Amino acid sequence: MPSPALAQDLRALLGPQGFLEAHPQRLSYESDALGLVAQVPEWVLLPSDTQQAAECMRLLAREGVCVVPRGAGTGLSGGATPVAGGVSVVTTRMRKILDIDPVNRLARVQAGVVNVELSRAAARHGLFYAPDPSSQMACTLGGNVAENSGGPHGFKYGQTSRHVRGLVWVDARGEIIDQSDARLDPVGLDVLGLWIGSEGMLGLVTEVVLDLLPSPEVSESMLAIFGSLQAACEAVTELIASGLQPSAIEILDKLTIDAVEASVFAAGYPKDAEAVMLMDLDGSPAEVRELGEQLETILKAHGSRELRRATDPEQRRRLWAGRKGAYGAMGRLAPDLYVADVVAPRTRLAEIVALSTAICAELGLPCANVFHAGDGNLHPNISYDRRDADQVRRVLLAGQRIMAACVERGGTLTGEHGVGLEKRDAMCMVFRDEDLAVQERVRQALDPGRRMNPGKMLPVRGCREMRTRSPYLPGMKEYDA
Amino acid sequence: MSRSTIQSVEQGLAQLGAPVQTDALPIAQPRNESELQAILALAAESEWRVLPCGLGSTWPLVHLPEFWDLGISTCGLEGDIQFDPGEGVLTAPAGTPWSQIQDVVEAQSGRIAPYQGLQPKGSLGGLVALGLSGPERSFVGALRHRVLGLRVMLADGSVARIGGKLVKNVTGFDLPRLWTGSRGSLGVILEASLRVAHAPAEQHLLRLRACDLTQAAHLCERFHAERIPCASLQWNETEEGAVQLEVWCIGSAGAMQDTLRLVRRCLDVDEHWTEEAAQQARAAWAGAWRLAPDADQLVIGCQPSEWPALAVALANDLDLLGIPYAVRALPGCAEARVRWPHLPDAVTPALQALQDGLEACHASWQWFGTHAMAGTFGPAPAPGLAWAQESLRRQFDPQGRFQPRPRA
Repeated sequence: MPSPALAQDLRALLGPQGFLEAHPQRLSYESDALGLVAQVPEWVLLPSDTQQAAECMRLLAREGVCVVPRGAGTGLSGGATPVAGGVSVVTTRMRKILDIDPVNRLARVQAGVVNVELSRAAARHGLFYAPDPSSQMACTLGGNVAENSGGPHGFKYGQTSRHVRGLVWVDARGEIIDQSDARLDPVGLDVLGLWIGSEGMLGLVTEVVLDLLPSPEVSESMLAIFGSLQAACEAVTELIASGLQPSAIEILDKLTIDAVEASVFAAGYPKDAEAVMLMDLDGSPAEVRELGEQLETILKAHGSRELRRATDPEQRRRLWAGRKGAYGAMGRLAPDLYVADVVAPRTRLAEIVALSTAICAELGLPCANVFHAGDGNLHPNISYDRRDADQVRRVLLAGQRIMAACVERGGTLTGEHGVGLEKRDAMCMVFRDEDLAVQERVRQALDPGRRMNPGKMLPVRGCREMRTRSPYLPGMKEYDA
Repeated sequence: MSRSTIQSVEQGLAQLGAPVQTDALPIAQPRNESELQAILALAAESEWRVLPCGLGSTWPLVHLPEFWDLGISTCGLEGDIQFDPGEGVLTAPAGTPWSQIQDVVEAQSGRIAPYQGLQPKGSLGGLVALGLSGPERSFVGALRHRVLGLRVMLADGSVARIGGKLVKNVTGFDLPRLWTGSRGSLGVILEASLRVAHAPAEQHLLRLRACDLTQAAHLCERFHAERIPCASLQWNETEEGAVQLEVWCIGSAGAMQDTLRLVRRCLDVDEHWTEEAAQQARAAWAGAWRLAPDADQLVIGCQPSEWPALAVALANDLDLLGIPYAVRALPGCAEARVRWPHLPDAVTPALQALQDGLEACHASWQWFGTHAMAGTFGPAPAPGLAWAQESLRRQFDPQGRFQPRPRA
C-alpha cells in the first residue's frame, strides 16, 4: 500500500485533474475492454507530459509501487487491468500532436493522441497514418505502440511496428529514454523494435515519432457477397497465393451481417448472404483498375454471387461503417462481447474458422466471425452475459479451445490484441520453458524490480507447474484439468 | 592470446568440427548444434571471445586476434530451405547462402528483396545479424520488418525460439527485432524465418548516365516530392570512373504504366531494360562497385530532406581523409555506402570532421570493418539508451563471450 506521503507528493505534482484518488473516479479504470477481470487501482495518475510522467515514475519507484500503464483502455487482452496495490498511469492527458513534417513524412505526437486524430491531421498534407485498429476512434497511439496494433489495412501496410520511427519512454526508475531522433537504423541494439508490443512491461511511452504515407491517388472499396463462409475463405487463400494485394481484406459472417444490418451501422450488406468480403484497393489509376479486374475473376470463380464497387468517399464510408461498427452492433445480441484474436496459417483459414464456430456451438455459444482475412488474423466474437457465471466459464473455455486448435495447426495466440492477462498462461502452448526464459531476460534487463505491469504476458511460473495449477482467469482450470 | 594457446584451441576444435585456419585466428565450423554447444562450452572454459559468422564473407574485416579468440561459422549447420508461397514465409538454416535462398524463392514465383550485406556472397544468418536493408528498403520495408522468427543459441549453449513463422504475430516480446542487426553480440543465429513477397509482374531498369552525386540527390528530392513509387534509386561510380543513376521499378502492369510515365517526366532516360535483361543489367552493375568488396565500409542513413546536405558533406569531407574511396548512394531509401581499402585505426581529425558532417545531417551511420567490430567508431547512443542496450547485452551474454576484447 503506497504511503500518505507519496500521495501528497503526487497530488502536489499532478493537481486534482492528474491525481484521482476517490473511489468512483478510480472505478472506471478497473479494467480495459476485456472486462472479465477487474481490479480498482490504488490511484490513477494522469501526467500531462514526459517530464511529469518521469517525475511520477521516480516518486513511485521510491516506494516500489507497481505501475500499470494505460492509454484509452480499449485493449482486449487485459493488458491494462490494474494490479492490486498498484497504480494506473494513464496517458490520455498527453494528447498533443507536436509536429507534422510533410517533407520527411513524419509525425511527432504525445502518447495519448487518439489514432484517428493523427490521420485527420495528416490528411491536410495529403498523407495518412496506416495502422487503423477497429477502435481507432478511441484508442491512443501510445497504446497502439504498446500492443503493436494492426487493423484492416495492416495487410498491405504492416502493423504499428513498421511505422514507428522513434519513441520517448520512461523506465521503471523514472529515467527518460529518448529515442525520438527518427534515425533510419538503430544505433546498436534495436531497443525501439523490442519496445513496440512490449505491453507496458518495459516502461511508459510518452512520445512517438511515426511514419506517414502519401495518400493513394485512387482508393476504391469492393464488396463481394458469398453464399458460404467457406467459399469466402478459400477465395482469400487463392487471391493471396496469386500475389494480389488489395490494401485490406475483411470477412464478416452471417451472424455479424445480421447484427450490423439491424443496428445504426447498417451498411447495406444483403441479409441473405452467408458472408461478405470487404476489400480496399489503392494505388495509381491503372493499378487499381487492373487489380479490380483480377480480383473479380478470382472472386467469381469462388462463387461470389455479386460484386459491388464503391468509388466515391461516401459510398466507401458506408460500406466500411458496417465493418468498423461490427463490435458495437453485437451489443444487440448480448450485453458483453468476448473478442478472440488468433492467427491462422493463411492456407488453413477456412478450416480454422469452421473449427472456431464448431467449438462455440459445442459449448452452446454464438460465434460471429469478423476478421482480417488477408493476414489470417481471426476474431471469433462470442456474445455473452457476464452476470451468468456458467456463460463466463464456457466463453473462456471456448477461447482456450480456439487458441489451442489454432496453435495445433501452426497458428498463434494473438495477431494484434496482445497477450495481456487473457492469454498469459496460454503462452505455454506456443513457447517452451526455455523460450519463455529468454523473454524473461528482457524483463530482467529493463525492469529487474518487476514493477512495470506485473503479471502480464509472461507466465509467472514454469509452464510445467502452470499446467497443474489454477490459472489466473476463472474457467481455465476446468479446461486445463 | 598466445600462439601456443591457439594451437591447443585448434586441437580441441578438431575433435568437434572442422576448424578452418586463417592466418590469424581459428574458425570453427560445427556440423550440428551439439558440436556448437561443445565449442561454446570450450570457449566458456577458456574465457575466449567468440565471433559468430555465417559464410565468413566479412571475415577479412574482423579476423584480427586483437579482438577475438575464435570465429564460429554456421555454414556447417545443414538443413532444408522451407518455402511456402501460399503463406509467404521462408525458413532456412542460418548458414544458407543468400544466393541459394533467392534461387529457391524465385523458382516458386516469390521474390525476396535484394537485402545486401556487405558482400554478395553472404549467408541468411549473417545478413540478419548485420541488419542491412538494401536498395529497396523504402518500397518493401527494412529487413528487420521481414524477420518473423529465429532460433538462436546463447553463450551458455541453450537454444531458444523467438518470434514465429506467421506474417502477423504479436505473441510475446519482439525479440527478432532485437537480434536483427545485433552483429552476433547476443548469440549465434541458427535458423531464420522471413516474410517473402510475390514476384512482380513487371520489372524495369532505367539508367541515367553521367549523373553526379549532387545531381542524384536533387533528383531524389524530386522523386520524393512527386511521390513516384519506384522500388529503388541507386547512384554509383564504377571501376572505370563512370557515374550514373539507376531507377528500378517493379510491380503490376497497371502500376508500371503509371510509374514509368512519372519517372520519364523527371528525367531523360539514357537506357531502359525490362524483365530478364533488366535483372541482368542490374546484377552486372551491382558487381561493378569500385574497390575490393572486403574493404571497410561506412553505411549512412538520413532523412530525404537532408540528402543534398549529405551529398555535399560526402563530397567535401571524403577527400580530406586522403584515402581512396568509393561511394554508392541509395537516395531513394536515404542511404549511402562508402568504401575504403583500409581505415586508419584511430579517429583522425579528418575522420572526425566526416562524422561531424554526418551528425549535422541528422544521419545515422554504422561502420563495418576491423575497428567498427571493436566498437571504435560510430555515433554514441544517448545515455539512457546506452544503459538499456548494455543491460540487455548483459542478460543475454553475461560473460561477454560475444563481445570484442576492449582495446589495450
